[in-house]
Amino acid sequence: MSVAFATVLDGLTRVPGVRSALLVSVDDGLVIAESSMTDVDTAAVAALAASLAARLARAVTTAGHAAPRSLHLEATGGGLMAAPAGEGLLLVAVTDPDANVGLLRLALRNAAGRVG
Amino acid sequence: MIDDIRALTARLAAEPGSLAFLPLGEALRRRGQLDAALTVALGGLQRYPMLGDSHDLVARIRSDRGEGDLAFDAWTEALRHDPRHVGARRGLAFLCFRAGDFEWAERHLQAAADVMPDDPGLVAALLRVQERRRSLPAAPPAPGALVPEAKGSLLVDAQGRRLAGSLVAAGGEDVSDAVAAELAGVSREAARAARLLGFGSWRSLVVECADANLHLLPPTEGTLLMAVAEPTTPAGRLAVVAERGAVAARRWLERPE
Repeated sequence: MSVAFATVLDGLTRVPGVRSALLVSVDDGLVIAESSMTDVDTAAVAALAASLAARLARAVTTAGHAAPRSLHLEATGGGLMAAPAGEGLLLVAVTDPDANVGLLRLALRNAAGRVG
Repeated sequence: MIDDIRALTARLAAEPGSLAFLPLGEALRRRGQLDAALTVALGGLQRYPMLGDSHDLVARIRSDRGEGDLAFDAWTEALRHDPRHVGARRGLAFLCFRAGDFEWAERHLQAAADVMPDDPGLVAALLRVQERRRSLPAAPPAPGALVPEAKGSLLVDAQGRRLAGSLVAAGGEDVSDAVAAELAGVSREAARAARLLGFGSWRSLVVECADANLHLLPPTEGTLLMAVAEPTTPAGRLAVVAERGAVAARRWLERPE
């Protein structure tokens, strides 16, 4: 992992409630870089996040809106937050159910700007 | 008709890239040779995926085969490529009418009649649907009206069919059915992601765009409600509004017939 990516991803995992942060290739859903606080199946997260992001992008553009800037999947036992980070890349954070979503949203946007 | 089919088959064999698949598929459909018709239609669709008529032909055959969901998808796709496609409007109107959604049956027929105002069949169908609507008691409140704070809202089922609500794009085009079709995939993907990651059931999906904020949630298993708001609407407020809409949608979905 390059130092720049490592710094960005480590910064995200310092947000309360973030278990793992990844940089994912949108086209193939593969992990490019990762930083995990706990045992997370990052390969599965990457594939699922990329697939969900692609589906959502299609629905949103069909509705006539601009491409998504961020998405947040909230589930009973945790969540995923993702934001595009430059050409063909997606920054993804895996969260606990009680994560500070507002803070993470800002951190993710800031991090995406640094990667892109 | 058999001679026509022979001639069209020969023409398609000689010119596989021609549009002969359209009359051939239709002729086979009319003869009730639905498997053969579908093979011809799908072959043509592969060559002409952007042509509304290709999807319309597939939809008519699917409809005859009793595959209403697939017919709905194909007619929706036809409209995506050609929003003025009268055949697709007629087909969707038929499916809506059959499902008891007279409001949307009328909308589709009206859209078709706007394109072909002199078609007596269309005018007669439109009058029939309007009469039917007038004869019904007032409809229960639909979720579109139950998310009044949202710019638009849509309730869809697991097959991507619109149950209630509507969405209009910035240009004024009604994109409800096209978005509903896409949302079925989103709902499945969200459920799959939550399940495979061991997160349990998914509760909501929040999407931020430069020109809108969207909040999606499943009011019941297999349905999805999407509320759209201006980008200036705070995310927390949109979540509250969407949740209220989901409660109303649940009540509406689970009402006794």
